[in-house]
Amino acid sequence: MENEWRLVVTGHNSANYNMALDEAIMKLSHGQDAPTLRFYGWKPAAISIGYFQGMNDEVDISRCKELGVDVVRRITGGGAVFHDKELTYSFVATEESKLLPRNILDSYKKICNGVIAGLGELSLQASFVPLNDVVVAGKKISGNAQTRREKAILQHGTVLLGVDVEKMFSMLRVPSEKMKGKLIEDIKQRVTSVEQQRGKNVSFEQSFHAMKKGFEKSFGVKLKEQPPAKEESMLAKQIVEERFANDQWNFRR
Amino acid sequence: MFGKSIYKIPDGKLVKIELDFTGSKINSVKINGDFFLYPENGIESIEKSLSKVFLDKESIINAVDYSVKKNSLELFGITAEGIADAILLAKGASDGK
Repeated sequence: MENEWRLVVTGHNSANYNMALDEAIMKLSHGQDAPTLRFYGWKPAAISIGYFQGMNDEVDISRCKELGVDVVRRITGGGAVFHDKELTYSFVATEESKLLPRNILDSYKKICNGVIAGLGELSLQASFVPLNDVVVAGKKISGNAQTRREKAILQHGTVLLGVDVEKMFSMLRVPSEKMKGKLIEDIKQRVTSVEQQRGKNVSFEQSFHAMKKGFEKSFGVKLKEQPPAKEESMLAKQIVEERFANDQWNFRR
Repeated sequence: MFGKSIYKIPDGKLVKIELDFTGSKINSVKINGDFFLYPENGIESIEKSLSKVFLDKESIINAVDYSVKKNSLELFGITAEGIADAILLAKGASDGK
């Protein structure tokens, strides 16, 4: 029989909850042989910044408030992301499961291969570009970030279903306002979405079914959908309070 | 004195430096950016290790390398040399107070 992994689909939630549940699943992963794959979306839309970024360096907080966009600092490195029309995944495995290579770059690639296979299910030919991008037609369609703590590995990443570069840059700070127009044009050339590539809208549901199939094929497993465990939900609530709803965390850099 | 810089590491990520220094020595430095570093809290070890270090490329690289080795850190999209270049750029852009 094929190995069975757990799939958790939590739909659209706040940035706080989304980030806290990823962390809770990672913290409670010890002793579990099988990894957990999770799919989720963001409501309200949100900007997440990387662990090492300065919040006020990257984000125009008052503009976000005006637009009703949440802001949160991730526990993973990488850059600022505007989460709007996207499918987000997280993948948690223990180091003991030996499912992922110890080498960080190799493990990024192995998980991104699931994303690539999922995009394949949507008839898109994607490839991995180190360190942490998945591209279609030479343009970034998925950004990914990984952390390792207490012998557990968490990687989360985006699959852009639609992209609004102008809205994104109305909330992100840029080094020079004078160069902003050029920067926006630049990013438009370098970033794409499922909608752009397919020429039509693909829903959250369609995309997560495709991603599910992609991960199943890529890892040779069956994914069985389950809700988050009670302990995970409880821990996530606690992590929201302690970390992601806390300015000390979000504005620490 | 205080200086800031934004520096794209060749073949790497963007680093943003906030540097506080007196004469030719670092008081404190903040290293922000969209890079990856494992484990993440190692960034504080690197920042601390740079306090009292001379503002020349070799001294900064040595301090960062030492901290990376001592704490078994792994860096992606950022290098000791890139950090040194970014810090020296911040020094050059200082306010002269």
